[in-house]
Amino acid sequence: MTTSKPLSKRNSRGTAGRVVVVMSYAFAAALPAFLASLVEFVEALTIVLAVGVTRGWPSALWGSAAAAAALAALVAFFGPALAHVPLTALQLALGILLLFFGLRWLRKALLRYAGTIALHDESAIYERRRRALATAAQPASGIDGIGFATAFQAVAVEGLEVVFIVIAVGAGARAYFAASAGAVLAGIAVIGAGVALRAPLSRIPENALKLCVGILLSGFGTFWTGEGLRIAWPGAELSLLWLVGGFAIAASVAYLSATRVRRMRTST
Amino acid sequence: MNALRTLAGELAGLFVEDRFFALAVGLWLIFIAVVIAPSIDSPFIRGLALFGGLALILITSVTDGARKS
Repeated sequence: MTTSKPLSKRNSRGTAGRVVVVMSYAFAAALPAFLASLVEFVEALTIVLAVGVTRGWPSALWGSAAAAAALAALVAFFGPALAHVPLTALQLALGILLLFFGLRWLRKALLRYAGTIALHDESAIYERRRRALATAAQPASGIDGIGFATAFQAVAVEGLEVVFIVIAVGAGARAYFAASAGAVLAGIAVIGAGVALRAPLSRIPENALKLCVGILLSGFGTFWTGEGLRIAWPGAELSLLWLVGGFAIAASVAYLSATRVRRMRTST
Repeated sequence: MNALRTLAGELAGLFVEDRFFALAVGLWLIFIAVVIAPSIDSPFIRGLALFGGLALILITSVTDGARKS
């Protein structure tokens, strides 16, 4: 049984070939990290905006900054530590986690498209949060505890998913920088848009992004789980393409099947 | 203690939403690791079995979700 080797051991390729493989890995790590981070940052921004408008910006910004610092500490701790874990074991563990994560997103996005569960509505969430936060009493001076805790929790919870994706995709592909760059770019884009618009980013196609990320991460997860189980994928890294394509086809079949079932239920 | 429980819940929630779906995925991975990988030589068939099972679980779960809604 053979398994495809980590990049550092692929000496049989020429320099140009290695550059292409490294660039492909970097892109493959950056893309899901960017798209997934867009989704998570948009969700966090909605709550931070609601906190800022109702409880004041100091508590919203300090809460967000504290959560970002805690998440950065997580990345700083786990990122380098994972570099010492053997690649096959790492890919198996992260591949399984990515599979669960990616398939969960994919299933949820498909159920939303099929009309089984409601679509995510940032404007409605913003209004709901704003009303709830406005009812609590505010301190006369200093940082507002409720605002701080709400912003902290929102950024920490949504950011935890970003951290997981960056660590999982970055470690599995040995492309931390690319995965982190994807997440940072998404953060800059969302914060920039939030500062410019001062409103929830409800026009971001959250469900379409979730579907794409679900397909990509399910493909990555399957590939690395297979590598960890010593399944020698035909075509090595190129099999990622047919895995992602395969999950896209499976998602289409699942959507068609779900909408057919719903049509049959409504017609009877 | 409550904070730890909340954190554990949030962490688990990253990976598991529908317990039956997660259980099916987990069992399929165990089946591939214990039965398929050691007994089938062809890497193509092993890879296809891993992917095919997961795709089937996804399709079944989404269809079932639509049926129950």
